[in-house]
Amino acid sequence: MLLQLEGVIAGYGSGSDILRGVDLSLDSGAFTCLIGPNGAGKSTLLRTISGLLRPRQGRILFRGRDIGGRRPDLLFRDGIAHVPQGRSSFAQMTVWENVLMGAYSLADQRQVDQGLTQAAELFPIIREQRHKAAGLLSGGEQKQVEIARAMVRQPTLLLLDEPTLGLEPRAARVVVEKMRMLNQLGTTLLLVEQNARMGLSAAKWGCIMELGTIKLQGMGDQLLNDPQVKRLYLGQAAESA
Amino acid sequence: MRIDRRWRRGWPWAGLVLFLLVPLVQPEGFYLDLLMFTFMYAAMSVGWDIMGGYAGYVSLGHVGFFGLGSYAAALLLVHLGLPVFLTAPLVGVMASILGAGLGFISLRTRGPAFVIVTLTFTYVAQLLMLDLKSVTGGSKGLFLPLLDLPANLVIVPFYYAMLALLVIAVLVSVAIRRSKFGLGLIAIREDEGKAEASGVNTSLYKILAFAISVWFAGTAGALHAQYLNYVDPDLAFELIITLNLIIMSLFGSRGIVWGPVLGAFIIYPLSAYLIFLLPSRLAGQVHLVALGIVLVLVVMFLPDGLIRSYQAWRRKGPIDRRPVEARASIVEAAG
Repeated sequence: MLLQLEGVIAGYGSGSDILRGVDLSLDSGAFTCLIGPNGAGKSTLLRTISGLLRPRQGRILFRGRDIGGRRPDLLFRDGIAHVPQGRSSFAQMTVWENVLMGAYSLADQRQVDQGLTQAAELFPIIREQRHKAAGLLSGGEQKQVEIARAMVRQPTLLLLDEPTLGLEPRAARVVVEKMRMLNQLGTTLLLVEQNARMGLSAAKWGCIMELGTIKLQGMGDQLLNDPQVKRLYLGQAAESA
Repeated sequence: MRIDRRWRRGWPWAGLVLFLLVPLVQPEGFYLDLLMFTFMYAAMSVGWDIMGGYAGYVSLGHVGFFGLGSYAAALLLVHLGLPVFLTAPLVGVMASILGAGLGFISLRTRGPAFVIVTLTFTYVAQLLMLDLKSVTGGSKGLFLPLLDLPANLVIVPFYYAMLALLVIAVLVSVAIRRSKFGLGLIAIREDEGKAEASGVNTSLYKILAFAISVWFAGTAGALHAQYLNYVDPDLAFELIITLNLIIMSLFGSRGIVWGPVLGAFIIYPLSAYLIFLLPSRLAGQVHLVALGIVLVLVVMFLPDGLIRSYQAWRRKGPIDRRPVEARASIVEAAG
């Protein structure tokens, strides 16, 4: 078991609980997609795992060790990378410099070179457009650069928060395809996806979140064909499927 | 393309050789003086840009370090008899240590606190030199012993010293730009929070950048004191010097090694000519107004500076056509 959450409760500041007891486990090499309505706590869950938010209760075990409340930079070093929602590249830096920023905390030059080579193999765009300012790329290209930046560290667990948000369908498919490739190469992925159909068909395992808990989980395609899921989350009447 | 690149690498060296030869032809006079001051401003502006351009923190305090450098060098010469050409780099180091101290106070936070602290620092330094009468002579200033040189050669050592300072400034700026440190500074300018999240030690980097940045102001101040053979609080702490550095950097392009150099090489000769052309009664004021107008025009019409604007203009053609092709290839790859 790579990652295990037991009864995790978390929220912001003195506000009410957003996560209300999340139980979730990810095997090494898993590709899990979280779907659910707005406000269910999907992004909050990712933030809690990557250390941006301290859990109020419950345990988060990464490789058997409790990491609840550990600093995000240390967790990044441990191998948990988080690609947040929206645009997060350094717009005026070149594409290559953006990718280098992903290796900033690495001291071992050999590891950096290795990570850069691997990232460039998966995302040829970071070599092709290396001298271009990242802000001049299209949304889909920027997302690829951001994921490449996270991959330089060669993380074991990659958290992706709605990477296809705001992308036109074809650019979104490119990003999804890249995620599949990363997973095949052994990276464990936890994906939050607004487009439930696309997310569930890409991932092996799906989890449905609602009101701060995991309500339902199962194989991705199984959930896709579940009449109740279809009705509630895929915006489709059960009969018309 | 290859010729283009070789030419780009070559022209700074060609310029350097040319400037090295100038005093052999013309060892005195207006033009040598003009070039010397251009080098001085260019070097300080490149230094300013390490903080203001790379890290994005605008310092209004560089003249404070320039003035203190002038005083430090003058006092070392008057009291201990140490020649300025030897002490200047060490005076620069003193400025850096002071800069690190000031940075330690003002750079642990983000945002405009730094601007205000550096501006205040200039005035505090000036008042201090004015009021420490027993040491600095107060408003009467300090006279430095003249260099033992024939009058027609007296500019030459300053000319070469300022040229050396400029060369060092450019080399340091290039080295920083290519280093991980420089990448971290630019990340700070782009988004300090994100930079920190990526593992950049933002406070340390800002303090370090500021210390390096003011070394050039301190060293130039030391040389300048010996050049005038005189220091007083008004001359040494003229706020216009800081403004000049900023305008030169903005005009040429902030955050690009050659930006401040280009800015200085255009603005300093122009303003020197303006002072030269105008009747001396008016020159001071008109020159300030002109500088103000240049600042307004740059901010309004050339906010990215000459070099960046030129690069954008050159890229424009190909860029307008590019995205269509690029997108097409992505679509094919996606199937």
